[in-house]
Parts: sequence; C-alpha cells; structure tokens
Amino acid sequence: MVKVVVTGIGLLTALGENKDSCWKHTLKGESGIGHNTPWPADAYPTDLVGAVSDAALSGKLSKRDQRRLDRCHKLALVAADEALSDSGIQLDDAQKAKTGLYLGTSLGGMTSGMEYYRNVLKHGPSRHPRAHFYPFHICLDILCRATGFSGARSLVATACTASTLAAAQAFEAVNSGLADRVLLGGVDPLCEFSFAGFSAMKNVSTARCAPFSDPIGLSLGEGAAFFMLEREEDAIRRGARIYAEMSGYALGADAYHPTAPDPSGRNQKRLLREALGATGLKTEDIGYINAHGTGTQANDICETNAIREVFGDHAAKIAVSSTKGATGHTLGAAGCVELAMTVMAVATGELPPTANFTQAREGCDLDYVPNQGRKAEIKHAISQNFAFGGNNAALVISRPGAENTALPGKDMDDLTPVVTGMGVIAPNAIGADALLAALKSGTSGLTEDHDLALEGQPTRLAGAIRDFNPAKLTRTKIRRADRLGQLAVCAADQALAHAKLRVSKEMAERTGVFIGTDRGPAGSCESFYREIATGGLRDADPKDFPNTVLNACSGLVSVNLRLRGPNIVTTVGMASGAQAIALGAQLIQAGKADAIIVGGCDELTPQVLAGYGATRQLSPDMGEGEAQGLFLHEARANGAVLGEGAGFLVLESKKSARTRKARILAELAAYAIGGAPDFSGASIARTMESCISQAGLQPDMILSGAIGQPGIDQGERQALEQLQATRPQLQVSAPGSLFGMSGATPAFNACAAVLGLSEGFFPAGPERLLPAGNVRMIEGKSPDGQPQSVLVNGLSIGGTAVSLMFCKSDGV
Amino acid sequence: MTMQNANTPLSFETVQEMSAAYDAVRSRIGLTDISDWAKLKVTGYDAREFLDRVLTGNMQQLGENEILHTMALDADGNFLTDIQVLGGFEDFILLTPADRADALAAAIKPDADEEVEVVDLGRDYCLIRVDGPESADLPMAILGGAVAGMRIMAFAEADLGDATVTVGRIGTTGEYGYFFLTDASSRDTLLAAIRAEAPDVVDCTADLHRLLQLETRGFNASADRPGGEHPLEAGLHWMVDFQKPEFVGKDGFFARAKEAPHHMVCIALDETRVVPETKTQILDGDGNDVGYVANAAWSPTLETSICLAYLKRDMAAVGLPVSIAGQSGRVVSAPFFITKSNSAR
Amino acid sequence: MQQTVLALVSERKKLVSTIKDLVIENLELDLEPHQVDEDCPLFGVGLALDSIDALQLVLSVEREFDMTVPTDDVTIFRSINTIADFIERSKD
Repeated sequence: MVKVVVTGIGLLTALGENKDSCWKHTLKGESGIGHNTPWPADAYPTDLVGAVSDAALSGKLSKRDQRRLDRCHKLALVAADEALSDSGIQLDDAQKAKTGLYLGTSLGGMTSGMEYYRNVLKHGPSRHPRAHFYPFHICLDILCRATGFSGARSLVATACTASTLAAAQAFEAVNSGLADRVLLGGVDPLCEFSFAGFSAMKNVSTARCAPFSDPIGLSLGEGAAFFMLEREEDAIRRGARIYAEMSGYALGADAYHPTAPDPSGRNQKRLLREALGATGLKTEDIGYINAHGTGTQANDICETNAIREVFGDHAAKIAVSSTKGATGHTLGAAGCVELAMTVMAVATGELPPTANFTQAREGCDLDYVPNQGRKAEIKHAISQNFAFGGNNAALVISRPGAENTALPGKDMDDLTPVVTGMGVIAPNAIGADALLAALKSGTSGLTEDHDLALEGQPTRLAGAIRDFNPAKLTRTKIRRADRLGQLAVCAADQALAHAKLRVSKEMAERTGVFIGTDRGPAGSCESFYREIATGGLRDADPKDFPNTVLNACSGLVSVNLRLRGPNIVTTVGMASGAQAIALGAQLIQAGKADAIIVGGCDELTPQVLAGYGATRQLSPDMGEGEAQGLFLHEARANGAVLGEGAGFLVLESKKSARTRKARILAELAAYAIGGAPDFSGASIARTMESCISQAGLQPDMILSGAIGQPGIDQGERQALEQLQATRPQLQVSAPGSLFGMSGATPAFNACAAVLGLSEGFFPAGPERLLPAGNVRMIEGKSPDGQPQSVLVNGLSIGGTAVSLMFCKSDGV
Repeated sequence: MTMQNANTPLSFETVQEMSAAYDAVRSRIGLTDISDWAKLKVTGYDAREFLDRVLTGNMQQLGENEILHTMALDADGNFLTDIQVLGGFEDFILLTPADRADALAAAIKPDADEEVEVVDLGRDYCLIRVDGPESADLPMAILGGAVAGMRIMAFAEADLGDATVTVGRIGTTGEYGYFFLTDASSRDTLLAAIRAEAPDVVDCTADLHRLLQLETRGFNASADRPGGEHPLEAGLHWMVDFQKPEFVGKDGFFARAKEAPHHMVCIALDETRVVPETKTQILDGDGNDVGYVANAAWSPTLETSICLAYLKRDMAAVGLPVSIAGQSGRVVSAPFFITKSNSAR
Repeated sequence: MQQTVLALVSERKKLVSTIKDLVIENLELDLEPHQVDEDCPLFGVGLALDSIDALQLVLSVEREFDMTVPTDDVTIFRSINTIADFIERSKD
C-alpha cells in the first residue's frame, strides 16, 4: 500500500492570509469572526461573519483576475499558490499531466450566479458576463490553467463535506496511481445565498460562534485550504518536508432525513469506527479529533455523544476541538481548512483550541481545548465533517513514521467493478428495455414540444422528459422533492430493481450513491434566490434552502432507498455522469463499498435553457449554419442541444455480485480521467490511451463523448481518426445526440454500452448528413456482430475528459 | 360497568361511572393498561416485502422509527384487522387490539420461501398507554432527551433503568397520547416512573377508549362495522396504497368496494340522553330510510348523543337533517369537536 | 321538503368535490377524488400531510374561493369536510 503524505499547505481564512498567520492566531484562541458581511446586513439577525481580508487577495492576483474572477476562484488561486510554493515542488510537462486536481466546494461561483440572476430578474435572460463564472467546474478550469495540472480531477459538491470527500478521493487517486500527486483543495466564499439560507433556518448565532459552548448557533466564514499530496517515496526522494501522512478515511450516509442529523447518532458512530478500521488503529491511538463542531444544537450534542460512545474510557483523554469558532463555518472549504488545522497539529505537536469557549454546553463534556492552544504529541488524529443529506466523512492523519498496523491485502479480482443493473429516465426512454428499443430504432428524445422554455427564447429544441410522473415510477416518498431529486430517486429505485438488489440492513452500510451533475438543483436554487431577491429574509423559506445543495438529490436517494454507504456528488460539466462512474468504481476497488449507484442526473428548467442561451453555448450559436440540432461530429455542428434525465448503473464488486448470484451485465475494465488547461480537447486522446492501456484490451467500439461544441469535439475526432487508422474494424457512434446534452448523457451512453455488451449489438447513432473529418461512424442501423468491449467517453467544456472501458464479463 | 358486549351502546349510567376517567383524558392525563393487545415482532431480510404483500399500506415509505396505521385483508379481500406497524429496517412490531388477535395471527403468515420470522411478544411484553393534554411531555420526563419532541406516528427506544422501553406517539383519542412497550418484568418500573412524574394520573379501561375514539372518529374495528361493512364504506381509504400493484385480497377488496352501497358519516343528535341502538334505522328529513347506526354513545363534552352511521352514498353529506328513533339530529363533520390538546397547538 | 333536502345534499357534494380536486391538484397527491374520504384527517394521521402542505392549502383555498383564511383557527383544516364547513360559514 502506497503511503500518501502532505508536503505543502496553503491556508486562507478570516484568521490570516497564509498558513503561518492562520496557525499563529488559531493557537492564541483568536477568532476571525467580525462585523463585516460583504452585503447589507440590515435585514439579517447579525452581521458577524469570518471574512478574508481584501488585502489577502489584492496583493496576489493580477488586476485582471482581481476584477473578473468570482471570489471563490480568487480564494482558490491564492491558497493553491501558497500550497505549491510551500511544497517546493518543480514539475515538468509530463509530470504535470500526471498531477491531479481535486476540489471541494459548496457554493462555487454562486456569487456570480446571484449577480446573473439579479440581472435576469430585472431584464430577463440575456447575455451577462457573470453567467460565465457561475458553473461549478469553472473553478477547476481556472486552477488547471494557472497550474497546468492536467491529470485526474474531481470537483465534489456535497455541501459541508465537499472538500472532506475531495480529500478522500485525492487520497484514493494517489494511492491507486490514478494520479502521481494531487493538488487538493477546498474553497467557499461568503455569499448572501447561504447566509440567508442558514438565517432562515435559524441556525445563525447572533454572537461569535462558540462550538460546544454558548451561545448556540453557527457563524459563517469563508476560506480556502490547499495541499500537495504525494507518495511518501516521491517526497523523500525530492527531499520534501513531510507534514503528515494521510492514512485513511471513512464515508457514510445517515439515510435518515434530508437535513436533520439522525438523533441516534448510529451513523456518526459507525463513521468513527470505520475510520479506525480503515487504518487498523485502535481507539487509544487517536490523540486529537478536529470536530465538525458547527455550534448548532443538533450537531454539537450528537457529535459529542458519538465520540464518547465510540471511544469509551479513552474519550476523556482525546482532545476534541472545533476551529469553526476561529474561522467561522467555511461550508465546502471546511473539510480542507480543518484538515490543515489537523495536519498542523500533528506536524507541530500543538493543538488548535476551540475559540469563544466560555462554559461547556449542557451535554457536552469532552476536552474541547478551550481558547488556548497547547502542546501534545499526537500520533494519529481524525478530522470529520457532516453535511445536509446526512452525509458524513472522516479523515485520519498520522505523524510521519508513526507505526500503522498492516492491513490485510485485497483480492483485486474480487474487487473488480461489474455492472449488475441500470436505471434510465431519459428523454427518449424510461427503463432499460425502453432504452434498448430506442437505441435499436434510433429514437431521438429531442423535441420542441415541451413546457421547459421561456416565452420569447430563440431556443426550444431540447431533450426534455415529457409526462414525467414520479409516482408511477417509485413507491418511495418523493412528492416534495424537486425535479432533480425525483429523477434521481426514480432512476435509482429502477436501477436497484433491475439489478434485483434488495438491500439488507447489513448491505445498506456497504451500498453507496455517486451522482454526477452538470447543473445541480437549478430549479430550487432559482426559486430560493428569487425568494431572497424579492422579499429578503422574510420570504426566504427555510425548507427550500437545503434543496439548493448539489447533494440534496443523492441524500434523497439514500433516505428513500435506505442506503448508508458513501454518498457523493461531483460536477464537472457534461462529463459529470462518466466521472461519477469512474470514481464510483474506484470506491469499489478500494473496498469502500460493495455496491454503488453511479451515473449522471440533471434537470432542465426554463432558466437553465435561458442561461445556456445567454452564454451562447447552444445550437445554432456556436458555428456555421442556421440549422438547429445536435450534430455530433458533423460539419454543421454549431452548439449543444440540452437534455435532462438520470442514467444510473449499479456497480458492484465481483465478489458481491457472485455472492448474491447476480446477473452480471458487463465489467468495468478500466477508467481514466484527464483535464486540459485550454479548450482544445488535447486531453482527450491522452485519456483514451490511458484507459485502453490500463484495460489491456482494444475496444471493439467507442461511444463518442462529443457535446456539439466544435472546438472540444474536434479533439475527440482526431483521436478517433488515429485509432481507426490502425484498426479499421473499430466501430464508433454518437448516441448522445438522441438524448441531448446534460451531465447524464455520458451515463446514458454507458448504459448503451452495457446493453450493447449484454444484448450483443452495436448501438448506432443517428444518420449524419454532413460528416466532419474522416472518422467512420455507424449511423442509423447497427452492423452485424457483437462487441466484446466498448469504450465510453465523457467530455466537457472545461476540458475534463473521462474514458470508461466496459467489457463482456466472464460471468459469475 | 356494562360494557361486555361491544354492540351495547354506552349508556348514560356507565358514562357517569366512567366520567372521572373521561375527564382525566380530556383535560389532564389518563393511563390505560392495554397489555392484552396482540403484539407481533416481524423480522428478517424479506420482512418489509412480506408486510408490503399482506398489508394494504405502502411499506416502502415506512421509515425507521415511524408508525403506519394500516390493515390486513384475507385472500378474498375481506377485512381482517387494522394494525399499527412500527417500522424498522428489517424489523417491525405489529400492534392490534386484543379482540383482533386471531385476525392478526391469520394475516401475518409468511410463505415458506420468505425469509421472515414472526415472534409473538404476547405476555412477555406489557403495553401501557397514557393519553391527555398533560401527557405531552411525559415521555421526555421519564425517558430523557432522546424521545423529546416526538412527532405523531413516530416512536423511539430509550432506556429506563435496566429496561429498554419503546415509546410511540399515536393520536386515537385526539389528545396527546403515547404508548410504552417494554418487557413484562419491567412493568412495575415503568408504571412507577409514570406515576412519579404524573401523580394524578387516572386509571382508565379499554372501554373508555371506544367513546374517546368515537368522539374523534378514530377507527374501532369491533364497533364500527356491525354489518361487516366494507373498509372503504367506513372511510379507511388512507390505510390503502391505491398505487400498489399487488397485495393480498386486492382484487376482491376493490371489486366489493364498487358495489358497497353505504358511506360512513358522523351524526350529532339534538340534545338527548338517549343513545340509539346499533342498526337503528335512520330517516332523512322527509322520512325516507337513508341508513342505520353503527356505533353510538353519549358524549360528555357535547352533552348529547353522537353516532357513526352508514348512510346511502348519495345521501351521505354533512348538513343532512336526520331522525333516529324519533330523535332529531344532523350529519356533521369529523371530528365531533376539537380536543384540548389539539386546540393548544 | 324533498326538493330542499336533495338540493342541500347536492350542493354540499359539489363543494366537497371542488375541495377534493383542489387538495389533490395543489398538493400533487397521487390519488383520485374517490380515493379520499371527506372525513379523513389531513395532518398527522390519515393523509399525513405536513406543514408545507398546510401553507399551500391555505393559499389554494384563499385563491379558489376568494377569501381570507384566519391563521389561528385550528378547526378549519381538519378534513375536507371541515374545510367545506368553513367555506359554507364564510358565505353566510
């Protein structure tokens, strides 16, 4: 097993503009929370927030970036830069291509999104510069351009566990060799959107947040924390300073309620036990826990109880602190901000205190290191976070050289990810059988006959799911869910049924959900924003706010289908669905889940259609010709046509599938993820090659990841031409044009690949009137023969490329 | 107490005897030992699917620590019993009044190929309920914060000394109401804890609940279907998952529902102390036969007689003036009145 | 007399039917009108609606019947029948 170590840290919070100043102020028990909301606070119960000083940003960014970028991106760039220089690492281009970028954020460019929406509310949908900075993946793209790191990447958006989960994935990436090293980070800006949300939920304290003490309530903060993670041997070889080892992690879901933590704490306890189990540690090995400690009533008692119960007699000897009194709750950044605090504690032998602590809250009786840092030799520490949707994550950090118990080896054949079922809610098909029929007949889901467009918009053509009736598709409780949540639950329910997987109580803890989404809960975000924009806090409905986080949909799946395994949402544009499948497979291989529902899910709303129109990404705005359509790999390609829906696979370890005698539809032989610092699509060929070489087999067919954007698609086309030049029998098609573009599209293609393998046919795309380039594609009708292996690509505007290699399984 | 036969209307005299207990539940707190209820524990990998098959409600939506009030039918679709189902992941507890114990046992019979274990908790467990406006915070007072703020139709487990107590909140009397389920050997500990917290608690009998339930139009399987009326005539639609593709007795149940001629309504008589007998004919304002009495009693709160009655479907409407054995009255909306617990909310 | 009773019954049935449609449509219940009993409790037990439904229901009734619904009257939203009672009361 590879040891993963931290060799560089960048930290930017209300406490200070770099790691050293943050750490110095933290140890003194100071709090960065002050009366300085960046927005007028008259309407709110408080103006107390943990804001990063403007000086911390202005000195380190170009004037142009300073003016243009979203605050989220600025925070990220500054902290990332510090982490890189702190690590002292020098990389050539080849090394950069194997360096990953893993980010966690809850809000991303939401501040820009709000500016755009404000403009929409005033003037209706129109071109607006801020619209370009709204999508989540922009943060990844900006960092990619700044660093040139074009290896595997992920952008996790699971609210308050976002960067904790990003850290877990980064650990897996280095551990498994998906990347040689990773620049890992968490970032979230202060934004009125979340401030209004937490205020409406009456979670915000009117005094400085005092975790485990008084008063009850949280203070919001902002910040960014970045790390260089690399293999220990590499770090030693280059003489790097090693702060600490990241030795393991645990993930899980409450599957209890969309927002409230399970009061029984059973899943928080399980999380701690699994974190110990994953690292082979005993309770008495742990010396420090950086608690989630938000200061809210529900969290602090629950967390205290879980720690006390799991650690028993040793609980009294563990230092437990929450650094949120010092930094404020930095939401999606919290995981990495607190990982930085934990790493520093282990590296320096000093414990960060809980700031603003007066007396212990009733029921809170652990050693919370009140107000003053103190010396302590820590061998192993845990940093944990919890999020809406009952999403839980814990990281284990160890002092370099601290002895770990050797964990038993794994049988990689047992852990091979296989597909045992699928759930499909697509514009042209609901259910696996319907998808099979649609693929064989070439039925397109693109239509102008839907009610998802605004009056007066030029673009109507879309892959819209008409007559979506969730109550006919699931017997679970989703009447109240937004469209995204309903799509996710219906498709997940269908996928489990298709896999004939009825989850036992034991299996529930080993069954996860991993969803990729391009737009997330666009409809819920829009209505919540509309509420604040029109009526301020008065109209902000506390029930709507939790639906605005990207993992609300995966949380709903876990609650309704009672799945308690890892619960993750990633967002990297149109490639999201493929990304989720790849990283879900990684969790199976890592033994973190026996089964996992993976794929893409997106909703189409009038504002989404208008927003893509406003940024001129839709056909016919992007190229030659007036004809509107999704012309993949055609000379007349001129932009995307949007789609929606949910496409999920049930990925299972081969062992689990064998044990329950499941029908194996296909095997996921390999996957690769890459990025590019520009929009040229240069990463695509590299990613495909990497996937093919890992799989050790040549695909009989490739399902294109083209998205209708000439610049990106061309990159894939060149790679396809090269492959076909040496292997003329290689079949290529682009069924994506039957679905329309969304984060679910590559997942639909993955379902098509699995059906092609299990049913023995080559899924064809529609006929192309004006082929572009020399790539030969099957159109309209499937040729004779049966594929043995199918490669599925997922591409996105930001330069993310994902390749998945499915092959026929050797059976049970 | 003359309440031996469920078909005997509660008379004024017996209500007087019961009035202390009645007053306790309606204005303070009353305790009823219902340990004779049938109590089954159903566990196993197939438990949820099995219950989904043999009960009419949607078991897929029953979360852990939630309670579902639903019913079971025989293969022909005839009503067997209503059941309170306490939900777990793969473990469920089924509660039903004592006089339907056989019906429950008949309904809960897994097939050989279903991985389900059914255990009769019977006499090994005691079941105590407390009802009344002053019972609101009782569970928290004796069992602690883990059961604080319990929603209606929810339950939780908590420790009481060495005993584990399952406490749940149901609303059959229209007042705050909780049941406590624990090992029979812990009965005294539980009762002592309740009495320590609520020293004025008044003991009630199961008979009283027939009246309390009638006043709020809660369903009483033994009293409300004197002629074996169809559950949908009795207004139990909400116990049925109409979308469920399959459940035991489904076809017969819906086929008969179509032919069912009656619809249950609430009737309040104009000030009278006479309680009409079950099956007494009901005439409308014009003297036409429109239906018959199902379950009647004198309501101390309304100071008149009230009844649940079956009227012909096309005449079953609130506001209809009726006459029962010479007493005038009219069809009213359920519940007959808003309880103290409910008006405080 | 016969005429009056029948008229009364038919008017009430019409009102109940309107309210049923309103509830089913506005709360997006997956039920047919005949699958809802007019005496069935709406909250807690019975249809087991929640507090968001309650807000939605108030809005729907106010819009459909062009009236103001008092927020502190706990008797109104017990069942379809009690809503009908309230509307009849308000008309008088």
